[in-house]
Amino acid sequence: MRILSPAIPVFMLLISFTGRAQGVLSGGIESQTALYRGGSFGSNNYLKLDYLNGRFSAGMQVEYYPEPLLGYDLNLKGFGVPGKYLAWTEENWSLTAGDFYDQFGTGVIFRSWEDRTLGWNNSVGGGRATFRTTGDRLSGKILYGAPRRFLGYAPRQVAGGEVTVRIGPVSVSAAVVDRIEERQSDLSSMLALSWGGGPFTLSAEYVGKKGGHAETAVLGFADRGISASMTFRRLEGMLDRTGMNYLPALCQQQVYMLATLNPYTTFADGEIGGMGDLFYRFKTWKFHVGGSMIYALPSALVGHDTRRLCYRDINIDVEKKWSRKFKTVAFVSIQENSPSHGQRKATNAQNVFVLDGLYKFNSRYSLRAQLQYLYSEELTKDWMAAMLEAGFAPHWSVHISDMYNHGDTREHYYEAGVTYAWNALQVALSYGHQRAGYVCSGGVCRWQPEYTGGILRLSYNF
Amino acid sequence: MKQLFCSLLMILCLGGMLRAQDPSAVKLQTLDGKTVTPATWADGKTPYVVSFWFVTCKYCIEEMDAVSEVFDDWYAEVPFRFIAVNTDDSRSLSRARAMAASRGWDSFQFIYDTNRALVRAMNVVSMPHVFLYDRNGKLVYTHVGYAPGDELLLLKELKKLK
Repeated sequence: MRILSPAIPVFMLLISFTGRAQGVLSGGIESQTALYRGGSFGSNNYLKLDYLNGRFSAGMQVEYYPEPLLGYDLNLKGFGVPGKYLAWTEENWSLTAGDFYDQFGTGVIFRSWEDRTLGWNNSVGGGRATFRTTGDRLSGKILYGAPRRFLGYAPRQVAGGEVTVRIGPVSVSAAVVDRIEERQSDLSSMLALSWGGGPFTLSAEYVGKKGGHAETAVLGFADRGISASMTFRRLEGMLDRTGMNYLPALCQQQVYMLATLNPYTTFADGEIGGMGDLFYRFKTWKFHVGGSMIYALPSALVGHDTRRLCYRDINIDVEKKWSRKFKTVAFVSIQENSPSHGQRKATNAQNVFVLDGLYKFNSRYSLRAQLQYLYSEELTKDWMAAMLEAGFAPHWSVHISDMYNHGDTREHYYEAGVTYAWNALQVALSYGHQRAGYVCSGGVCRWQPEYTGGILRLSYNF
Repeated sequence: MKQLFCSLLMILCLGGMLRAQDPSAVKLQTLDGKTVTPATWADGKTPYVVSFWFVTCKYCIEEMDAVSEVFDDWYAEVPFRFIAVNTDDSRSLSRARAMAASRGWDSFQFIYDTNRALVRAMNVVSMPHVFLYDRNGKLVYTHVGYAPGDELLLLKELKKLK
């Protein structure tokens, strides 16, 4: 409440001063409230407001957690205004004071971002200046501030700058970032190159710091009907407890629930790996083959002098449109994961098979059905899952799903829910029994404990 | 708590000021890495749709497939542009480009918002989320989520802009 007090009046004052000039006030509301079996509850609520008048803008994000949802850090409990800013933006330069998000290069050296599903927000509170020349041949930015921690700021600062030069299809970027904690400096630097010509794109990036480095290369080919993408990355000694290094797991992002049961997380101490995708379209068929392979580096392992498997997978999906009304997807994912990041020999393998069908009865009514099976001889062994979803466009959809572990625990994880959408409003009510597991995105994971209960989700923007 | 709700009430009372989002200054990337801002989207000639998507958003892809299949027919009735804003992070960016090229979305214009600056500026909470603007950049329709058939509502709104 202490943080909230000055922020809202200042924001209102700014609006009242500039209101006659017909500025633009926009915002978004998101609320998730859960009632768990046993009587406890959790509620995460966000209100974001932005005001723009000509070159001036201001905004804030209010967050309220009477009790954080299960799996979110209890330090979030309470009120806060962790996102507030004032900015002035000209065509070729800008100044920001307050809380902001930014990224240098691919984010390995620095990324501040928000993901409410993960409860992750490392916005930087401080100042930023950006510039670019006409034609965008030269651009740059400098920033300084303290990263967000819960509803306040972390006891450390980050300072950095990035310059990009663009000549035709080639661009070169260089950046430096310093993390300062207890008067100790931790400097890192980045050099990146990207090129695009015809259907090809190529980019490479090097990040170095004391005791660590990361190299990334991406090659893309995109043409009508067939396209491909390959990414390679080697990193060593990149563990960063400030959370400003963005090190997402270099493996396939999955859509189906059984394929996401055992996610891989980046081994920042040292790994080398690659990920590739190939897409092909032929008449009413669409094919995709994707895979990844990641090994732990010997320097990051204790007592091993060779690379050890961390993770590998291969995924194939075939989509077929049989008619204007009926479409199917067949999906296979073969995954092998080392829970010790290669430190121990044991790995967990799982094979996931999915059949997904969508039938449109007419322009309003549709039915989607999914059958999934996971075969494994490790961990909790075999799983099966099914999902049915009925769509009543343009406002309603209803779904039921069940995930059943018949290899070990013989437990059902079920959910039933209804969603209503109207313009920018979406309201979803669901009830279910959720399994414990990691919810991961972009190299950040949140442990989600098992629970049974109902959740009401609401979002609206204006 | 009381202060918060009083302030919110004051904000809502400023109804005359409530308008659509204006993210015109946000810097985004094109397919070939050039920087663009949404300020250039309103061309005074044709309305345009802004649609947010990412590679593992099944509903986003279904919606874009549905619009892509009827794009030429719609365009014959109401010339319009479809701007697909990809919100994947740096890891999936190349995959997003490859996926977009392979799915036959040839009529769309692709923009990349790798650190979700436009998502924040337009207060997009969940995806898919489409915004329809008239030729002068005024927001006339928005819809969040997708069920097969939702695209017809978009067409209905587009026809009003003839």
